[in-house]
Amino acid sequence: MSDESEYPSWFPVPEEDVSPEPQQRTIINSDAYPMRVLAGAGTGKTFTMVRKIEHLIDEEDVSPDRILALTFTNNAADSMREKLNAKLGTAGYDIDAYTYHSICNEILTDYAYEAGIDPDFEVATDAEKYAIVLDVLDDIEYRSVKPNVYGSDGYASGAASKLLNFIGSMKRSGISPDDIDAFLGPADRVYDLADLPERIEAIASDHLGGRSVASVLDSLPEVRDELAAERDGLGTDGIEASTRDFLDRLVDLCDALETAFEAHEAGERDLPDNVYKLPKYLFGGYASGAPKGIPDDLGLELTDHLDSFVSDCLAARDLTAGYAAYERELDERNLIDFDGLVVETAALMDSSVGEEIAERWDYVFCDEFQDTDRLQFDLVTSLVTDDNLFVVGDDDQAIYEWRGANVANITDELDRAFAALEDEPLEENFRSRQPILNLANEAIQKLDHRERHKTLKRVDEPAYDGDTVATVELPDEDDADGATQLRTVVQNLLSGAADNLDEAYDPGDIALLVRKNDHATPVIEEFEDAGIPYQVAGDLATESVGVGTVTAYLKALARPEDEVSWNRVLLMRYRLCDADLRTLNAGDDSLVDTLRETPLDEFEEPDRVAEAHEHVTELLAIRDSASLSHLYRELTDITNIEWYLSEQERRDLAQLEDVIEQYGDSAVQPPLTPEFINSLEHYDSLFDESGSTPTSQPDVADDAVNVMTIHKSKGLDFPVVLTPQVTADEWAPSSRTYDALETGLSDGAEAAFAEDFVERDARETRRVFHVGITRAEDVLVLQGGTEDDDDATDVHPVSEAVDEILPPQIPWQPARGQLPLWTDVQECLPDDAADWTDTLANETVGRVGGTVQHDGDELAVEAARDRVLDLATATLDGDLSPRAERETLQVTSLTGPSTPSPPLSHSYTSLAAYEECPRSHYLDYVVNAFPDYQDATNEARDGVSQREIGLLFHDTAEQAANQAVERREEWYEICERLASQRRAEDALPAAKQCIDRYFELDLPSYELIDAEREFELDIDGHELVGYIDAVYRTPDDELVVIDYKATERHRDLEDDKQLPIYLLACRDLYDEPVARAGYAYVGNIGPKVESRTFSDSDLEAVRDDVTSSMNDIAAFSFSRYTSGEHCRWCQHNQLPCAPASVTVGPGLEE
Amino acid sequence: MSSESLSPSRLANYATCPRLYDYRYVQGVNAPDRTELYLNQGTIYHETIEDVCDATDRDDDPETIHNRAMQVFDAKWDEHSTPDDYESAAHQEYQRAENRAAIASFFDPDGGDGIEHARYSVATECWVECEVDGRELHGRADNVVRTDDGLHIFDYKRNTDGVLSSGTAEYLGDHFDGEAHEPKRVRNAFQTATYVEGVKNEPFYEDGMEVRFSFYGILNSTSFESTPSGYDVSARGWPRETTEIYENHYDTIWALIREAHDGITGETYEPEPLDLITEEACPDCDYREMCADRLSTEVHR
Repeated sequence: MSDESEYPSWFPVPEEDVSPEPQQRTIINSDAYPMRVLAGAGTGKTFTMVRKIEHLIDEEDVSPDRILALTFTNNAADSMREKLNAKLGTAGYDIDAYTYHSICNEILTDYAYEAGIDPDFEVATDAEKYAIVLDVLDDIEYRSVKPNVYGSDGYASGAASKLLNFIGSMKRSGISPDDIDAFLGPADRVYDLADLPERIEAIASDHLGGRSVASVLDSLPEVRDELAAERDGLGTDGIEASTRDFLDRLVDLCDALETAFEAHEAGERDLPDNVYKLPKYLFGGYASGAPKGIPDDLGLELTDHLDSFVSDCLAARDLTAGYAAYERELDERNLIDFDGLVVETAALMDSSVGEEIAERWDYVFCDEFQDTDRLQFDLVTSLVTDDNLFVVGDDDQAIYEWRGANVANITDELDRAFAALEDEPLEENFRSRQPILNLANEAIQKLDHRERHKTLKRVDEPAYDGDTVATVELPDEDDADGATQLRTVVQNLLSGAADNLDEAYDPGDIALLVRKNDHATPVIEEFEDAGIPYQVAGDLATESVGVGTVTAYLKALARPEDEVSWNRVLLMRYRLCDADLRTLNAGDDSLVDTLRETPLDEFEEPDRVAEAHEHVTELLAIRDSASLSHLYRELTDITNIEWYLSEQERRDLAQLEDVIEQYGDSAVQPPLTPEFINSLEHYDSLFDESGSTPTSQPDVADDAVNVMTIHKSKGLDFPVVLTPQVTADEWAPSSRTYDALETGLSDGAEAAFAEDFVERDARETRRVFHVGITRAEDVLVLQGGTEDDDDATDVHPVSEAVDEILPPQIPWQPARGQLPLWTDVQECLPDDAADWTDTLANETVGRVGGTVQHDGDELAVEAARDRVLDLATATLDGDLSPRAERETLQVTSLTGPSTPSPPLSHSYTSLAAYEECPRSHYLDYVVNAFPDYQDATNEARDGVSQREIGLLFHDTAEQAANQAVERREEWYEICERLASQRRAEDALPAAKQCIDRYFELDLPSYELIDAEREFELDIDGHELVGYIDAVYRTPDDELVVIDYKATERHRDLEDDKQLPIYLLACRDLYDEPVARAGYAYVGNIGPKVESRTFSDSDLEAVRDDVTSSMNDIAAFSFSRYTSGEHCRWCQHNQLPCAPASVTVGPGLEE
Repeated sequence: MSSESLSPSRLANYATCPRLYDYRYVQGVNAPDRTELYLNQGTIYHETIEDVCDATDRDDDPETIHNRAMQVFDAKWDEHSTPDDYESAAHQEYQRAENRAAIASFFDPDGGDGIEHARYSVATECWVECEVDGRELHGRADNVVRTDDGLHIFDYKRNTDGVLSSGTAEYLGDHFDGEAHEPKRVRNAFQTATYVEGVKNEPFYEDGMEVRFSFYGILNSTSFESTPSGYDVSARGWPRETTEIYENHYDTIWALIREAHDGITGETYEPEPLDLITEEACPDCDYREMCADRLSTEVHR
């Protein structure tokens, strides 16, 4: 279960059964199609969409399988399906909820023959794309592109990443190699244009050097004529048409300059000093930038635009052959890349079967429509029959234009495509406190060209006593990143002691949302330093020491000659001492051979060396046969390496695990190879963009500060949002490679110079800021500052004059690219905004991190850490005196009074654990303690764990329910797939027996109402959460709650608490009463179902009982424990509380 | 005093970081080769220059020398350059073109420095030894050229970016004082000292001869020109002489040599000053991933 399911992005409040608000209700009940809902952030747009689908099925009797719902991320599609299922029962699963890409995958699979592709095609992974790009490098026609695959800065500037970026840019806009060939023509044609910018500059330099308005005015006609002559020498299609259009614009500029200068000479118009230099400057006639008298920041040497367009065209001329070879190679390997899915499907929809495909659905629902690109727009319109289209989105949150999204899709394009389009607004916000919305509303007003105006208004705002919008002014020093300020802010938020705060927040409540990754780096370092847990979305965490050690193990296994990696592993995992490392490194033999062959008695710590020897031998033996994931799992199992990592390092490891899981997404995953190690090493430079598409949404940590780019945070929300370094420089908009070329290719040659891409990016940057702000629920902290010259409000007179003179044909404006974001923030701040610069960003309030008592001293955490290290060193050196220093370290939070209590979430399992032993509950559920070190070799690893079998059966049942699969063979298939995915084949036979037993029961013939249903009960202020395995409707029309038991233990129904808890939860979940519950035994003691009814008074009794347990737990402490049989399975059985018989390790002295 | 003879490159390794020296030369830990292709390219132009110098007589005409150089280069390229070093054939071809252009320019019949280097070469790959203050040094000089006033030793490099210059020579003292970390320039100083002193022990040295030392970057400047039918590369080289710097900073340079030499022979490998080394040397170090000294600072954090 991912974290999102708890707070899905589209759900306004996490409680069940919220009634739609009036605006939402209007939309839900409307019969008007096509309909467009422009919905602001946090207004519950997806919620409304889901309810509208429900309404169609429930009230309008539309068959669920006639409805197609499209969204961007798998998470969103999954949670949509879940919510519909929760409301509609199994019917919910009949709705086709897809992502814009997965629907393409589905259609192409079904119509492979018609699409002319192999039905067994696979979707190419990033690693496969990279491999293909390397293979086709020799197909590039190198003329202006340097053939270096890597340069001084690694791969980032090499030919491979150039090709990868080029293919990405072109393919997203549906531009094929043939399109580019046609646009550019032969190389000679492009090279003929390559000198043009210089020729224009020469014209300007030759004619426009006059020293007065009058003399320059005299020369302008000649310049105009020469420019016109250049223009008229050009052809009328492709690259020449774009260039011709550019020259046309310059000719218009000549006319405008002439008019202005004439007016000046006639005394009708006042122009500032030095304005006579302007024409020469605008046409690039000055060799070294703006001359004296023309402001440096004008940024209007117009030939630069032609120059960069032509050099992009030159690069494109070379790379197109590589692009074509890449496409051929994909085809050859039976792969389709992500962008290709949409390209192929759009082509298919254009063919004769298009109509047949579209007829599969009567209604098409689209979410996040502002993020669709041109191809996806065509795809959607081709899927719509009878105008039954419903679209939601927010043009103010369009932040993927730079990745090919076409914002106009949700505005003008829809208007054009559907004449009868109905518009409904959605402006009532359910997420953020009003001051945050006020800032968001005000700041977005600064956006030029904003098509529709929405004003966000909070409804049902809960009471709150604290600052909501806070600013932090960056320190004055140069290069100050202000990271310590944010560290202090977070420490204060976590302690909650300050008066300005309503409550203390958990790390998981806080998000650091950044414009670019660089902004996060210094703050993360501060978090590290302060021990604040954090999780960076989609980052390989290569700097993390723990990840480095795990990676080194993989490197060493892949390339055993890499002795640096072996040394790393031996040092950090096996903790070999210097002398033993020297022994291993000595001699001419390779380190691995020495490790295998040197007699143990030559080492100072033979046990450690023996362990390394054993692990390495075992892992090398399976290296070539095991798949990468399998090898990785064996590595972590055998070496228990995770035990040696800190909690933060384990978190850091998640992304590496993802990359390993995804590697080689074909039926059989390849083994570990040096190539995989290479792809890991270039991962960051090559696939930086892969995390920043609208299609990928990161997993959110609930126990650590979430660090991610604002782009990745789209659709998420957090109680507290911090955004660092809001300054004009750091947020400066930019143009991107191939902007003009791409536009010329998609919108027609004359479009290449019709727009200023920097200005477009500036608009998008404002929307990015808007998205960032609107992620915050309670508290928004913005950190920023202005450079001194940002404040200079006087506009240079020449700039002013240029502004007036430039004709509309020139899209570039003076001082383009300056975005005074912080100044804007200051202007838009709500009255009650707080400045935290000298308060919460400056010093911590109250004690952060607690204290430790030792030897009569009260130590802060850092001092205590040093003390522990000193004591440890003293032990090693044999210097620890038996008395004074041996006093126990008293950690208040462990041994003292328990304030403040960490927020606790209870479950049946945690309550049961508490009843068994308060200390194990405290360690596992309150403080999340590390498990004790378990020597992997001592662990009884033979035999299959009951837990694994149970898990396999439960997950099979859940997936079977999700897919509405009812046959035993189909259950088998799911179970086999799951077992192979998690390498749990050992458990498969037993799990299949469980399935057999399940099918001997009556349950399969009942109607399944719900499966793996999540619930959240509030009992006397305590939160009790869990999952109900299944709810069935019996033939007698009675609902019954069933919990599957694959274990051998029999439960006494009379004394049971688990089932009553579920029945209590059902009161919230279902309209009809549920009074019966039972266990379905599918393990050895089955098959049988034992159930009983529980009366209201039974339930109340359990409720009281559970409440008192939860109250007891609130006064938790480490000191209370019960020892017994359960200690055998306890993760902490090396503590002295465990009976001697079960202590496995050396045990800890108290 | 130990009598161990050491090369400038070992001494420089030690000056970079004593622990690096420990890992590389004492423990001999094998690091994966990351820049095999540049190593091979170095072999190619070194051997080309060596072979051309050895085969050339004083009165050979420039055209002959040039043609000889191009022939030798082609043969050396085929011998040492392997496609496995490159991700693409195009990359290999580009590197060949660049190196070939450098050799062509160096042996340009019309005033290329290599013509004189070849005609007046008295020794190539010349093994030299010296001892100063009881510290023995040795090295191999790429080319020793007879000049009107004496000898000029050349060390051929890809380029002379960042090589010791009169403007940066003062950093040597800062390095010695632990105020800066300048191992590359220290290395250049060690090379200059070893070759200048060493060559004086060679049979072809005569008393009163002036001895000069220069680095020569044969690819100091490269240019890439794009044309409709492909690309052209050209390259140009020039020397950077360090003789005068050696004379002006003689005491500092020998103090640095003594320090490194004694550290190696005394087997002290603790990295000092750790802060400076962590900041300056660790980021590019092949052994950073295994280095206990560096990891301990990371883990402590």
